[in-house]
Order: sequence, then structure tokens, then C-alpha cells
Amino acid sequence: MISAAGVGVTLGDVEVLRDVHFECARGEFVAIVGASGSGKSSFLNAVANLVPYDGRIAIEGSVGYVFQSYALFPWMTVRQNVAFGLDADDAGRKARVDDLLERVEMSALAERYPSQLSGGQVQRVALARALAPSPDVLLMDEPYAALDQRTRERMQVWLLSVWETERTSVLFVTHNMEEAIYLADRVVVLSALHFDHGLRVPFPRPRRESLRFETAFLEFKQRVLELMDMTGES
Amino acid sequence: MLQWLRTAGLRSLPIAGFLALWEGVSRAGIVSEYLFPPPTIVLRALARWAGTGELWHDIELSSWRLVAGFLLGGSSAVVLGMVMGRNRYAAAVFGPLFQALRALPPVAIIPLVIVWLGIGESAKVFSIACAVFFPTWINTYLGAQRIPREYLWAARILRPSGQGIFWRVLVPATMPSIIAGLRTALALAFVMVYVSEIAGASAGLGYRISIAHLAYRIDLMMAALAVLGTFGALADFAFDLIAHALFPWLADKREGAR
Repeated sequence: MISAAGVGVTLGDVEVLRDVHFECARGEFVAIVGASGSGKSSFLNAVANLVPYDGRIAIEGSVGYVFQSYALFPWMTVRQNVAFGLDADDAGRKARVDDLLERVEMSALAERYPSQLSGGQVQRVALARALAPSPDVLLMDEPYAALDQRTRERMQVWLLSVWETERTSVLFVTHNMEEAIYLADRVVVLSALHFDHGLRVPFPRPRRESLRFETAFLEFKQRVLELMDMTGES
Repeated sequence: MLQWLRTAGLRSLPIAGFLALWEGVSRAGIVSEYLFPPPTIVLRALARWAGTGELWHDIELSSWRLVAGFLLGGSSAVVLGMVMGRNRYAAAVFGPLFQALRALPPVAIIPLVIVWLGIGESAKVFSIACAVFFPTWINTYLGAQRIPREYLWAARILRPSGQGIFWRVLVPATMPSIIAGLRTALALAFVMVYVSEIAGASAGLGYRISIAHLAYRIDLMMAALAVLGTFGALADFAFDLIAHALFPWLADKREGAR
């Protein structure tokens, strides 16, 4: 689905990624963790072809993107934001928007402007907007970093329930380890300009919310932390 | 409603007090009644001015000049600001020239405008348009240049064809800057209405002030000033109202609901 080989990104004079190799299967949910400033976002931006990069990135299909900040256009209502990526001539446009708003439970607020919404509501609409054109790959750059813990956990449940039906490949960047393990099929650690191979998350889906309190979850979290330490992450 | 009446009453109290004090001081002969005509006499001058029909004619002419200059200067500034903000070649070609011209005080160009365009309507409209142009242009230009990249990226990903991005993303993303520029420009336009009417006009609010000055009619000068001031305040109020009716999302931002 996504195949990256020898990818390097340099921002100004600073090299943030070097010789990155990465594969992502169709429908796979991959979380990328690593300290801030370690080039995680730059990798997403390279995959989305928003910044220049060295090496080769091949994607089968189209890309959607959920940003952390400036997530929505403030001059458009919720409905207009979600419809923006859909062709105006498309007869199924209204039905698609209605369906997505329904699924992120934002139908009642469809005519509101983003400034009238809470942070969690904004991110739900941002997810609906990114999914509207049915992208094959969904990129998410720390979408829930600015939310409080409880809202963040509810958003994760949302995301999984929507993703279960859309089944697009997801690259989810976060620095929150629990979030990564709860959401993803595989957790990849980025450090010292590189990715490791990643650890496959052994928990079956659908995942219970209580999973994060179970011993197996905490043990797995420990393994990921050790992997980060091994790769020289502080 | 009662609450509103009380607030309005409390707010107008200091103004009423000031006018009463002025009336008293002037009537008592503490200051010259001629140099500081009391509010009642100013009001009488206003009534006489309105009675001849000249007041309405003055307001009509000044408004026409103001609106024409504002629309002309504002629209050209928004177009050029958008183009230069989003096209670096256009910015490189026109930027230095406009930046140099922007440094000129708009009032100082009036003698030159009179030489070029005479003292007719076009000269006045042109002077006002010039004064409106630069603050609107610089705000639009910088606003268009500094659109958050996430907006541009989201637009690119959601509409790979690029269709409709100018009107639906670039223009609205710049709109807060455009509005701020136009609002500053509106205040400047009022300065220019007055200044341009001092130099060769036969009617208008600025003309009335200057002709009252020549005739030493201080009561009429004050009446004309009051009208010009009220007119300016109303225009600013109307501008705010229209801007938020056209772009409701701007109002929400101001409330800080997020």
C-alpha cells in the first residue's frame, strides 16, 4: 500500500530523516511514536507529497490527512468542511456527508462554524472531512495531542469505530504510547533519523476500552519503551 | 429592556452633563459666547442649516465621494494585495514601488492631485481612493502571504485539481486581514473627505466647515463637526454590521467561543 525506500527529509539546514525504509499493508493501522522533533510529522508530509524528500515513496491510491492545528476551515460550516473534498457534481455527495456526520455524531451541529465547537468536536469533523473522499491512506499527525485525557480516550474509541467500516490504511503519529498501542496493528519507533521494524500489537479487535488497564497491555507498553531506549531515545 | 435602558441612560449621563456644563459656562459669560457657542446655539445653527436644505446636499455629496473613493481604492487594493500575496513574481515586481508610495502621507498628495485632476469630483474621489488603497493593500498582501500552511495543505489534499481553491480557501483565509485593512482605511477616508473638500469644493461637510471658518461662524463649524463625527461613527458601526453579516464566522472568532 505504502512503500518507502531510502527516504530522507531536510528542513532548511536540518536533516530530520535519513534512509528511512517503511512498508504499510492495505488496511493496516500503523502508529509512529518518538520524541517531538524526531521527524515523525515530516515523514507524513513526505508521504502526502507536501514537502520535498529524497528517495522513493510509492502509494497505491489517494491520501487523506488530519492535522493537529488549523484542523478545519473556520469560514466553512461543519457540513461545508466535510463536503469540500467531494466533487460538486457528485450525486451521492449529500448522502456521503450526511452518513459521515452521522457516524461521528455531528449531524445536529452540521450548520455550526468550527469556532462554535469544542476541541474534540473539531477533531471529529476533521476526521469526517479527511475520510469523505474515501482515501486509501489516512495520515493523522498527533490529532488528539491538544485534548484532555478523557476526551482523547473517547476520540480513540470514535476513531476505531469509524475505521472498522472504512478500513483505510492509517499512519498515526503520536508521542503517547498508550494511544499508539490501543489504536494500532503495529507500533513503529522513530529515532536518530530512522525507523525500526516496529512491534506488532498482539491484541485482537474490536478492542475494549478497559484494555489499557490490563496486565498484558502494560507489559507490551514496557516492551515498546525498551525498544525506544535501545534505539537511543531518551 | 429595562436593563438596556438603564445602561443607555448611564452612558449618556456624562455626555449630558458635559453639554450642560458647557451651556452654563458659556451662558454665564465665563468664556466668550462667540468663541465657545453654547450647545443650544450650535443646535440652532444646525436647524437653520438643515432648513435651507444645504445640510442634506452636503451629506449627500460627501457620502457619494466617500463611497466612490472607498469602493475604488478598496477593491483595487484587495485585488492587488491578493495577487501579490500569492504570487511571488508579482510581489517582486510591484512590492518595492508600492512600499515606497505607501510611505507618503495621503494628505500630502492633494496639491499634486489638484494639478493633475483639477478640483472636480474625480480629484476628490481619487484622493480618497489613494488614502484607502495603502492600508487595505498592505493588510491584504501580508494576510494572503501568511495563510497558515495547514489550510493550503488541506486544500491541496482534498482538492488535488486545485479547482475552487482561490475563492473558497485563499480569499476567505485572508478575509480577517482584508476587513482589518478596510476598517482602518474607512477612518482615513473620512480625513480625506474633509481635506479634499477644503481645497476647492462648493458643497460637502468638509466644505461647510471651511466656509464657516472663513465666515467666522463658529456655531456652524461646530454643527458641521458634530455631523461629520456622527457620520463617521455611524459608518464604522455600519461597516462592522455588514462585515459580520457577510462573514458570520468572523463574529464567532471575536466571541472566543472555542
